[in-house]
Amino acid sequence: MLNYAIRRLLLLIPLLIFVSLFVFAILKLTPGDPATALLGDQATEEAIALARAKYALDEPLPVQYVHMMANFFNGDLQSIFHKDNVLSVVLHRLPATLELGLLSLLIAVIVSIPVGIISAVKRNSFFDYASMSMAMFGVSIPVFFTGILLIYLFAVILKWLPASGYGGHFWTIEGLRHMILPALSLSFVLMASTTRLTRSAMLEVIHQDYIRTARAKGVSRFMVVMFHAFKNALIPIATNIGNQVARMFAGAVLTETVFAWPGVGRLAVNAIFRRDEPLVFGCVLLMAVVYVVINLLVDLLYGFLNPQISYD
Amino acid sequence: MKKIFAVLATMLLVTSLFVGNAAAEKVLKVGISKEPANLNPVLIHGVYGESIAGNIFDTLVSFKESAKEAAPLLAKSWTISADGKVYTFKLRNDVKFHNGDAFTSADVKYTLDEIMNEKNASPSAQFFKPIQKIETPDAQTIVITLDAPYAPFLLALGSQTCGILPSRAAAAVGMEKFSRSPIGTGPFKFVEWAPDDKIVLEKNKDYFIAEPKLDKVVFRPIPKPETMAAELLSGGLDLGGELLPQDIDRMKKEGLVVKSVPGLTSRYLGFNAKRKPFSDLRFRKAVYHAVPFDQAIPGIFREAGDRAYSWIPVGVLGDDVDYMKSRTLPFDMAKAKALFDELKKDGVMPEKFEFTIYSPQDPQRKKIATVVSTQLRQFGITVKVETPEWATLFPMLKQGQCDMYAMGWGSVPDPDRWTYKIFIPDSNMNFSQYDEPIVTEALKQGRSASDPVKRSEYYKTAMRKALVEDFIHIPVAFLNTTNVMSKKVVGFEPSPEKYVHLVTAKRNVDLK
Amino acid sequence: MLRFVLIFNVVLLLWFVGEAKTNTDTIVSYGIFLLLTVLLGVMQLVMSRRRKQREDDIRTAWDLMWRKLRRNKSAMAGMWVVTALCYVAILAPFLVPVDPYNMDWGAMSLGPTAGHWLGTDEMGRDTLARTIYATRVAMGIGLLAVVLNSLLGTSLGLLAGYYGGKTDNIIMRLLEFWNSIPFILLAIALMAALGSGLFNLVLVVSLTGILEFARIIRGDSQLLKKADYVNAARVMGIPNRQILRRHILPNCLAPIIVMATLRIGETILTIAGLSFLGLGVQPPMPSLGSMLANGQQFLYENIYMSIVPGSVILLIVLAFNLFGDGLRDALDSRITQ
Repeated sequence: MLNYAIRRLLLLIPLLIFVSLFVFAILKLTPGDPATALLGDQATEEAIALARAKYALDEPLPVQYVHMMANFFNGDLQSIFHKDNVLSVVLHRLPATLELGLLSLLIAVIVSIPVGIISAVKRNSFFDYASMSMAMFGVSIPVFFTGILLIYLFAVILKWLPASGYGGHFWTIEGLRHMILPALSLSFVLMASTTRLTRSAMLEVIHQDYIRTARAKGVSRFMVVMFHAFKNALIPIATNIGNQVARMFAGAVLTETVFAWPGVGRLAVNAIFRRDEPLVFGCVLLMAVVYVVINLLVDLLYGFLNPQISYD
Repeated sequence: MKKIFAVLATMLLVTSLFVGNAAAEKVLKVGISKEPANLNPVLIHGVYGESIAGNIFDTLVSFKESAKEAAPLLAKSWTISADGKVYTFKLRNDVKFHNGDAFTSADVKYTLDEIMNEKNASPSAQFFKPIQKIETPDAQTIVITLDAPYAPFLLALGSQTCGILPSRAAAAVGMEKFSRSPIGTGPFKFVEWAPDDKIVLEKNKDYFIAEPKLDKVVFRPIPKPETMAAELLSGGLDLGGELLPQDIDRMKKEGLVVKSVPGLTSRYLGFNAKRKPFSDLRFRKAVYHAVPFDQAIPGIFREAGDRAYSWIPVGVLGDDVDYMKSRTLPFDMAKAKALFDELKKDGVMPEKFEFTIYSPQDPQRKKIATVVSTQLRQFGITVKVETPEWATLFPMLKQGQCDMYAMGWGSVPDPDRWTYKIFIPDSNMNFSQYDEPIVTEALKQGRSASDPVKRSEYYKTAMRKALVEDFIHIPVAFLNTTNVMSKKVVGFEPSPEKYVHLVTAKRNVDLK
Repeated sequence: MLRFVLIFNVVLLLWFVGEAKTNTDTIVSYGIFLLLTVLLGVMQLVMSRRRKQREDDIRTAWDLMWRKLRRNKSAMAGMWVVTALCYVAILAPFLVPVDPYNMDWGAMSLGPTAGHWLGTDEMGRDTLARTIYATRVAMGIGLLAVVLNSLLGTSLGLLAGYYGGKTDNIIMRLLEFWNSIPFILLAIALMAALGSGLFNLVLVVSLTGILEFARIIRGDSQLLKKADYVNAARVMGIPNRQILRRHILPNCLAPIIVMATLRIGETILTIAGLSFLGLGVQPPMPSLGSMLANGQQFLYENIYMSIVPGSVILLIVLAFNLFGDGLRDALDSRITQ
């Protein structure tokens, strides 16, 4: 297992090379440069030339690339806009992003797994139809629109919750109050896909022989569902959740924009708009690493879920 | 699922009950639509940085209450020599920076030197180019000598980009680091900057004008105007601005205070003077005739802006509104068609003509471009609207690559700032690549003339030639600055420049 | 049933023939519709001829699938909606009550009235007309992007699965690397780099989710590779290219169609999201995403501006998902009734 993990982690090296080359190419293809974006509309040509020299933007491209890579690995990459180390800029945002992701994951899991299981057990019942259509709706509405609707309902009309912004960690009351709406809006998609997946995974398992055997042996229905069926249905569910969580790290851009949330996704998008090349570079590389690591963790989790899986 | 929602909703209700207003502190929460890049006046470009820096830093002279006349601030008094070249300022001696350092003439000299230092690439350096030398005879006196008379010089000194830095503290950390932890003499001290989240200031108890009544100010960047509106309505913000025109009316109905002043921000349509057929006067006139501006502008801007007739805002020296208004071209499809047909016949414009209007991403400018595009469809001209993000668009504009564009401008109330950079041939803000000797000459004269009547004539000449003879731009609208605030906010007035000044000689904003 | 559709099409063709000449837009629409009708007719002919030649008891896999699909009510509903949407998309110029570009400054931001059934937007443009055109744009972009996407995903998956070994390793690793870049960032960066044209939008959207596509096709082709008839073909010395095209690809077709159907909804949502960030379809061309992104700014003033495009997005995505789910179930031999 350790061998497997190490081998997977070794893949990070070609991954980083591929992703970094790609990002660098896109950055250099993009019109406009950080100097202009930083100095604004009133800047003169001389000022821009000076700024370009300052950020080493006038060097040949391969040199710039090597510089960026070296700086990335040394942890010396400096954000042009934030005038700070890229790593520390990203780490600063990490709590807001992780907490939001975790909370929405929590909401999604708490709601969707039981609903999915019940739907599967009571297939073709009213509950099944109702929850499946809810899930269908969940994946069919653009996420920014649900966000706006939630703000209008809970903040403007009912005045229960704040409309936007980060209020602190979610274990504080103020922090939690700020986090509920964005987490809810973010969880809809995850909720929908997890419900559907749980249902279909359960359906697949329920019809297998060992479940019938267990039932025939007199194991109670609840026990069979929970301990025999669900345990085996967990693998695809875990894969999906792992995938989605890794995505959430950056894919929450729309939610973060609607809710003025200071997360990593918005940081990266703003960095693109501001042509903050080192920050974009650092962000995307870090996200790629996080994605790989989360997926590795999920893969390792399989081992616990199903001892038959061996890592070779 | 419904049950869970019900449980969740009750949970929310319960939590919300527990949250009382524990804070006895007076915290003003201000929404801004964009985060500034810098808080160091030397490096600031753009209104968002200036707005916040205006509360941390002070300038020698102040235009915070009246944009027309300089009022004393850090300078008690000043004299200008008869030839308009030597400015002598007497400084206050009771002012301290937030870190305790005393404010002296050395700090003023340091600040100006840093602005003019090419290494800093200060966006405002151009306004200080005429400076020949700066002398500090004593700690409370500063003498600035110019190469030639330069009428808008006091304005440059009074801009928020010329806030005075503490020479020792700033030199110790360097310009860039200072931008993230600014120290000034102003009414509020910098506390914290959490990017994309908030910028927090606290009051400077020893502020030399008055002790600020607010304990803390939190500026929150909120990218979407609809979210800003929701925050104002739900009480999450005390003060906000730059809302969508359609939301303003509603704010009034919901019992919020809406204050509005004619602003110093414009929107205009520009043509390329170097490319065919845009370089042909007939084409520009035809477009002017083809679009019902008198209907479209109120439709798009509603109460948020008024139709513009000139580049120089109403009320600013040389505005010439009546003349310009009388010379605008009316909406007239027949005339437009005749002109387009003529252009086609002369081979200036191809039979199936296609071009692109560029605009930044804000909804109103996009709509202006959309209106033009839609109107020109009726003449068989296909017009695409493209709204690249700013960092892509700006270099294109500067290089004169845009055939037609919907852009804007915003500045202080001096005609020079509203014209010079836009119409001078070698300026990078001359997106139209316009080059007309009469206009250039008049603008150069206007810059150095000090007699208001004469100055005003120069600007009239320039604008008449460029706008109602050459029709190189179509002025569209001047935007009002509209601020929406809760009823608790006392004493705040919007400023034409969109600044959020909280404590000045005449006001001290408070929360009830 | 195909016969009824055919008759319906011919009726429509005759009905609209008078209006078809008004401008290029209508001519193109009419042409496309005519072409599709002719194609349908040919299909009908071929099928009926085949049916005659064949003994009645023999059913192909496709027949079985179709029978299963027909029993699935929600999938059929989805299919009918998709069909109706296709009609709307193709015949848009004949269906709109007024020009969707036409602005009326005297009728801004109206609710439903006699002249404007679904109201107008903030520039006095008819919401119904714009929605019809926007549906056309959405379906067009969605289909195009998904076709590109399937082509890419399928060919990579086929190559990886069939050749195996190093090729497989390289292709799959590269796709995984590609997948590790967060899509929305990638899309924004690409749009910034390439510019915001319609073609670029299609390109950017079609580059996502190739991995999932490729994985499934790879798995299928790995299985097919071991099938006897493929082995036989190889022994006979038929070149790999032909084996791929003649024997493996046709057998992967079903999962490709299912995946593509499910992907369309996602694509439309992605474009809506990009529109919200100002990077979607550019004005004045109507698009559902931009209409909704614009409409939600007028939520208070005129709710129809967001309800209408929002419901159409919902309808499209829902219909394609239901249909796709039904197809998948119909193809899945394990779930039997």
